[in-house]
Amino acid sequence: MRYSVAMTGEVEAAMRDHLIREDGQEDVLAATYVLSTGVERTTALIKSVVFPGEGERLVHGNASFTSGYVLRASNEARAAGHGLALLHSHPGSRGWQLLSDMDWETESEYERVARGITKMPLLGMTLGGRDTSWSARFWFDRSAPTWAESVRSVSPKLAVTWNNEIRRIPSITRSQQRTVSSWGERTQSSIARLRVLVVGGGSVGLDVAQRLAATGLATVGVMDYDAVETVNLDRMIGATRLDAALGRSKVKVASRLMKSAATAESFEIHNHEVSITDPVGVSAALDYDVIFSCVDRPWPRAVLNALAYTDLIPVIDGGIALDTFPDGRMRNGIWRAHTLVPGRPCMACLGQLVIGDIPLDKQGLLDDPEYIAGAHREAPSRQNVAALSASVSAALLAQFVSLTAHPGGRGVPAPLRHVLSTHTLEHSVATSGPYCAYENATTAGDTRTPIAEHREDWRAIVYERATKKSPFRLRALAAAEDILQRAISRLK
Amino acid sequence: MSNEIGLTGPTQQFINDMTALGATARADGPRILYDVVAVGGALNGQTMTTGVSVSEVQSWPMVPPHWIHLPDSVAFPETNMDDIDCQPGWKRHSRDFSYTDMSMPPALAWLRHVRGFISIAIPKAA
Repeated sequence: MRYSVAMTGEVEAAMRDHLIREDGQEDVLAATYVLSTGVERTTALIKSVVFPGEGERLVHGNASFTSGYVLRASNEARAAGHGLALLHSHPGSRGWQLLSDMDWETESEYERVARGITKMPLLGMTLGGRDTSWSARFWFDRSAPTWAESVRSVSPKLAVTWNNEIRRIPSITRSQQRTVSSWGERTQSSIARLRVLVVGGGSVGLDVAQRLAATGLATVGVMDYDAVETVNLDRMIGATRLDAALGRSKVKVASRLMKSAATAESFEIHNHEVSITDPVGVSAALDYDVIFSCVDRPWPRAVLNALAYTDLIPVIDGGIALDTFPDGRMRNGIWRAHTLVPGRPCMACLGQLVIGDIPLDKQGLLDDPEYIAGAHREAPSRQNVAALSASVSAALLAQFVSLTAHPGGRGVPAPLRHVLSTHTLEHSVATSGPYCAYENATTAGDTRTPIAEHREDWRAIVYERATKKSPFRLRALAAAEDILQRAISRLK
Repeated sequence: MSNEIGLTGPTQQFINDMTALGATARADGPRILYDVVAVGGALNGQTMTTGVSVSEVQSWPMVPPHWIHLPDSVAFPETNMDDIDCQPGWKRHSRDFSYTDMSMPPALAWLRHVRGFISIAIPKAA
């Protein structure tokens, strides 16, 4: 299991403002956290800050907690069902901080207090004052801490402090020179270590996945339970007639194309032939730092909309709608891109997710012609063209760059809407609604309201594909293609 | 009437939210029932008992219910309907719920939706 810590930009700013003192001395602080548990990663989400009262901590060059402060914070954490985090600053230091003997002893001693009261491990965190970098460790017992891999602050700017011992800085390769010259080695070393998941391996997802691989990311996952069909070939650039004839899974096609595009010295692909609307898909998604939502149905988008806030994993979403005249000519095309993070409105607040449609999607009614006719609804529009789906992937990737590289010192913009007929780019003025159930569940972590459900339908599709035997001619072509791909991948 | 299935957190939340708005809700087997007053149509002024399936509020308030349970005696010009989770002599009706205004509590939005739907009921054909 890997470990990490995440917090909203608002919480991070409150903690930073307390810990970095004008007089340059160290300070201490307590906070509470909840867990967000994935398959391979557990994340502590900082929930609330417990500021010290008068006389509850001693500032004397090296700051220290009083036992009364730790006990009060532990009891507040327990009352809320949270764990306890103890934080301190190293004002003159930069980068991931290790523990001095004194810090080790302090956290080790309070480990028993915290665990005894909250029944959860103590979380220790340090802030390096020179570059506001965070470090973190979990104390499962008092003997030694288990170090986290990263600490991320999530707001319109994603800022990650990496533990270089656990997640090593990927080497810069010859093929990445122009990328690195665009944003520098430091940004490259952070972006390349992000674990990014692309949900939906269709026209947009396939394009996004390949460009992430080409950017030099070390780990990219693709999640889709569906297969390539002939009808997809006008938009899935890189998918072949053989893929469609074999009914290859979209994640396998994405995997092949990502391998070809990857520029990292060591590139790790995670194929998830599962549905994000199933708990297994949600658990897998919780292992990632950023998620691209390349799906267009209400239910999966609702699941991702929730995860962005409940588990502090930025979700970059978008889509396209093409409009035609009655005679079939194109009237207009609109594509949108927005990043879902605390500080930006969710899809429901944006009007991009009609939550009343989610139960219809869950019940399969949006695919039921009889129901659609009875409800006097229009069947979902399916028009799309390759020339414009590239605009969607470009818009999503630009959001990713704004989120992670902060060009101009800014993070992600307000939600963007591109209107083809008028050639305009509009910035949405939508704001978060005070009763938004999604944003009000920020940092819920494992106590999140479940939207995903165990279902057999997608499992049956995956099983049928895995057990289907293709004609010999197609299998021979696939084998020849595989040999060719392996040979190409060995080229340096 | 019996409460045959355990209530999950979201189900209880739906009951609490509706009750807080004056539509006192109670579990009744696989459904939750509550009362609303029709403000128009054939039932104008009448207090009607209506409900939703428990299975539809498992993700409340992030995912609202869709089907509206009503006695057979209530008729509409045109809806999809069936009798899943309904008590004998009841039907559940489909009506698009286009809730996008997050400045309104989810339960209030649902209650207004249901009230609006009941208010377009027509006299049942003899």
